[in-house]
Amino acid sequence: MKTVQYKCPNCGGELKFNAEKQLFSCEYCLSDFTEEQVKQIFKKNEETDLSEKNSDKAVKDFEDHTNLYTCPSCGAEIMAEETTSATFCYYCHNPVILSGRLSGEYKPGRVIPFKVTREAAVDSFKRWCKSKWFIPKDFKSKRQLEKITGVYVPFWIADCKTNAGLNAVGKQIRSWTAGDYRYTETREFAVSRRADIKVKGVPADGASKIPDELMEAIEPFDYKESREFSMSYLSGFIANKYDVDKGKVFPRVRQRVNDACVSVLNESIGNYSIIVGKNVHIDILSTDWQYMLLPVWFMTYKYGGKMYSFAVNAQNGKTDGIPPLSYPRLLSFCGIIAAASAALFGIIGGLL
Amino acid sequence: MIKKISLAAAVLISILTFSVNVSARGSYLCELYDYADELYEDEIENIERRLEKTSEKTGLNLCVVVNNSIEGGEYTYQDYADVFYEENFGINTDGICLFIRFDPNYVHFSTSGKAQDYYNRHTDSILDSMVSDLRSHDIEGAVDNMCDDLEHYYKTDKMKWLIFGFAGLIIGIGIGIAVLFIVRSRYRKYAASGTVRYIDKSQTNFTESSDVFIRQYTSKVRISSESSSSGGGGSHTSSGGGSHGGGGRSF
Repeated sequence: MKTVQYKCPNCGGELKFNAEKQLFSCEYCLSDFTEEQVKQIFKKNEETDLSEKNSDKAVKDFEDHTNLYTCPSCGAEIMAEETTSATFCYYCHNPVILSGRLSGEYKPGRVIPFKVTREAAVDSFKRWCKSKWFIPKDFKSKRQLEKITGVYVPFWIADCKTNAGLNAVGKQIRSWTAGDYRYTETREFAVSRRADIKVKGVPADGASKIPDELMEAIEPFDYKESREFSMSYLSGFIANKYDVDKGKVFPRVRQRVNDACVSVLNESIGNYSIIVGKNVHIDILSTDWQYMLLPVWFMTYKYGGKMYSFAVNAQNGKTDGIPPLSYPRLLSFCGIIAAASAALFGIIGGLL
Repeated sequence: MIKKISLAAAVLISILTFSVNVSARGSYLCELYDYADELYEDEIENIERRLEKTSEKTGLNLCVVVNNSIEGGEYTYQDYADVFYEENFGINTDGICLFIRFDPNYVHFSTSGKAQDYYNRHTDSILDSMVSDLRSHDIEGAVDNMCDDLEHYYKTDKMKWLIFGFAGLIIGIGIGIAVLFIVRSRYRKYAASGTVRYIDKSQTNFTESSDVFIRQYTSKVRISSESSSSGGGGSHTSSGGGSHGGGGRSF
């Protein structure tokens, strides 16, 4: 399989995308290059990757389910997962881009480059851990923090045109007291709303291995900072191509679009004490899709036979995940509460 | 005022002239005064022994006085018992004075100091246990029952810390279980993601927005008023100035 490495034209070292500088940097001679410069220098590689011939070859390789690639730095032959598009050589640790996997229908339209550095992601993770009292001790260990990996996650971005309608009965209720009686007056209204609503940029991750709820928890991504896709952005990070196509993610997108439309319709109804008999219908008239790679700092942790995931939005630093729960710590805490309560009540009883 | 002086004088004279026995052990005292000659020698010995035993167990001053010459009704008997206790043991010390008279029959149970905490709310029960013996002039039996009750309620009161502690433990376990479930549920959820941010407000256009009046109706409910009454009891101050509790009754 065709592989690509971006080497520094000055010293031959590996070029990686620097999230802090937003440039392509060489760690050896400390040279920096803009995207334009990289494109110019490696124009031949880009053209080769996008050529019909290699695209056909990449498709053929994919069809043959060949997961073998040769590292251009050390020559090692490595097996890669089906969906891997960019990775590191396990032997020489140099970044490798499997260009054949990012062509044709798998070529992303746009990419948001990494903006949050690894160090900032680690700090964010540490801050997130501080508020979690019952996580196992080694969840925050140095060995665990080293596992944080920068990943370009494949996303489907949907723009939907919808027509939404709502019918309900709204009640205005007021009460007052006169003499020995409490009066309640109710006024009923037939409420009707209909609107054309555009829902833009709804993301749905196209990687089956990454939990959808986790990716939704670290939204939003600012698509204004996205750039036209270039393989050079992947250098130094892991990247996957999608294995969940837009047809499979559409039900989730539809649910989110429906929720958004319902909230717009609800907001337009005011001045009622209660709304009853609500009947909502939403039609998605058309959907435009984009396939984009979005940056995420990702970490998994195995505890008690279960896998836990943690993610940092590598554009704005938003973090989330489900932490493992250390039952010994939690039960000790509950035991202390029980003992303290018993002591407190015993003292109160003795003083009475 | 004259009544108070007379009462105090009666108590002093009683103590000086007709004192039968005084025994002391540690910081508490036991006394038995039989001004009405209701008791035989062996009954006196038995009652003294029992009073000592109870006094030792509870750490309280105990005295029993039988006096048929005190007249005046319920409040006089109460005051007599209170002042009698104070003259013997001091004001606001810890102890009990049991006053008994016959024809008319009356018994009064007076508490002072810590004895108020132990026994005030059990006064009726203590008097109940004595009344049937007193009706048959069995003072020894009545005092015996009273001492049983004093020892029982004293032990129960001392166990309060254990009972409260156990109740506290149950409550603490309940709180601990609630904390367990709350923390568990928080450790299983991702943060909720909003969807409203994806609405393009510039391209949101309402084609229909109507609120059509259907009808109006009014209901009424009569407001019921409630009254509540409450009662209660507590301590009182004797003519000697001490705080006492307890109670008495005819039998």
